[in-house]
Amino acid sequence: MKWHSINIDRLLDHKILFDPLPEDGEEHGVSGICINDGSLSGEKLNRECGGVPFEFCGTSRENDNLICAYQHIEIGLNNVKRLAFLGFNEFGNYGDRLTVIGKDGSMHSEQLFFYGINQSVETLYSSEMNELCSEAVKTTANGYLDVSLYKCEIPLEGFDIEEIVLPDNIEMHIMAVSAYGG
Amino acid sequence: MEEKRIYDIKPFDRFALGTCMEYGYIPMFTYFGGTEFEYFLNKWTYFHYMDDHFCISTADQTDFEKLLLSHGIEATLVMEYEENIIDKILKSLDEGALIMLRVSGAEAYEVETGYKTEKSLSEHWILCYGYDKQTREFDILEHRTNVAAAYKHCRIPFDDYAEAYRSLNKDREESSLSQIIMRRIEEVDTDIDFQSEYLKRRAGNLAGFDLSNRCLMHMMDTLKEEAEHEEEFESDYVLIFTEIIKYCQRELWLLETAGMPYDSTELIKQLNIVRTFVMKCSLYPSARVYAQLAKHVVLAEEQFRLFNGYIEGILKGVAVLEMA
Repeated sequence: MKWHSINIDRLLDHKILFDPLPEDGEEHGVSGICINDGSLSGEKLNRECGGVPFEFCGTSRENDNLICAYQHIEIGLNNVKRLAFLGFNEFGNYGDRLTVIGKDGSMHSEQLFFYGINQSVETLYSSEMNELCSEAVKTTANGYLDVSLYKCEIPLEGFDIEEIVLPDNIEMHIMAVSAYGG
Repeated sequence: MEEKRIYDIKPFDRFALGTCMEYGYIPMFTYFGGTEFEYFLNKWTYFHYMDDHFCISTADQTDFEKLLLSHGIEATLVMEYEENIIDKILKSLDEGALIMLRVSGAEAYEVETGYKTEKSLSEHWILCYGYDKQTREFDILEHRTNVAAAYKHCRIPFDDYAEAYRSLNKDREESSLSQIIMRRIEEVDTDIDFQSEYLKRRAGNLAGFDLSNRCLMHMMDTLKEEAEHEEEFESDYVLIFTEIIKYCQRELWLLETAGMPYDSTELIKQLNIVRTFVMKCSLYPSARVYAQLAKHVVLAEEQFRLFNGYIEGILKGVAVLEMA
């Protein structure tokens, strides 16, 4: 049993990693937040975040994340014990539901939760917290802003998973998916 | 005694609360025999206008002091600055009391991970529930970062906690609340039925509910109109929407705890999306952003109506039962 990186390249439809920063910044990223961090440059990056390896696209790619909109992600693994997502919310801390579809056609719902990308937002605006989600990559946006990418790790009871269906939520962004299974 | 550690202090972590004071107050209340349910049920959130702005306030439905006393708990509010605060805390803990200090700039570390907490440079309330004289550390509840604001069991050196208290309170020109000490003064057996208590309290406050709902619906209408005309937004709308989300989360948690759960995913999602677009309309207004806002306000309003319908249905069920 090991971690498997799930390729989501064909689903990527948004860009948050930039090198250099775009001049008309407010039209890019999320609410004008554009990550510019030399350590995230390149085509493909590998990072281990709290014991979970993630593979995601770096600054050289046209897109590096997807905005959740009911996309189907093929998993095709047996006895999956954990699903892990690297991502962030545009603003605010909250979760939504994703659907796990088994190889036997069974379906069940799990919570996907992220914190807001901007760390500088005051606690005053926090409305939810969750133990599934933790900070994964601490980085910088727009040359001065502290921002973070988060890991959401969902425990499962050893499912044979055909695919997962993401929620429909324009605020939730996903950069990478990993699954721990057979 | 070299060490006094209370291990059944439980941080509240189901949703974000309004203030740091509540994060200390609730574990103190529950440690001495109260329940989180009673604490939240006792708060009434209401919405009103102030100079054409929405304002959200909370008030205790019954005097909170009475709620404490019904559990045999006494809370002492201390206004004066105390020079020997370390001795005072140790004495309070030895006497079986818990103590909260108003501080600034305190830096602790998580017991479980060893991670340091971020210093809060503004005023901050921190609950202290234990000590170790050997290491000269207090046990406190604190959150590590502003974003991941779940409260954890942490420790802070005696002197650092005292300094954080001193730096905020010593030279204050006006005396203001600087310590809260809670203790049990009487053993009281209280046993409440969450569901009947929820129904009784809510049915007894229909006017308050109606006022809040009408104000929220009016807020939605205002947003729709402003989005349609691409008007400039008040920046405090983002904060107001945060409070609306918290209001819904609290009510949802009460319903769940009372055994009448409501599937809230879509409601909370739409409220959060509206909040984001309100912020975007303030920061980067464009026709596209206004159009998205208008769309999601309609969706949020629909979800809010469904949620209210659920609560009204529950309360009507009670009315029917009472008539029968």
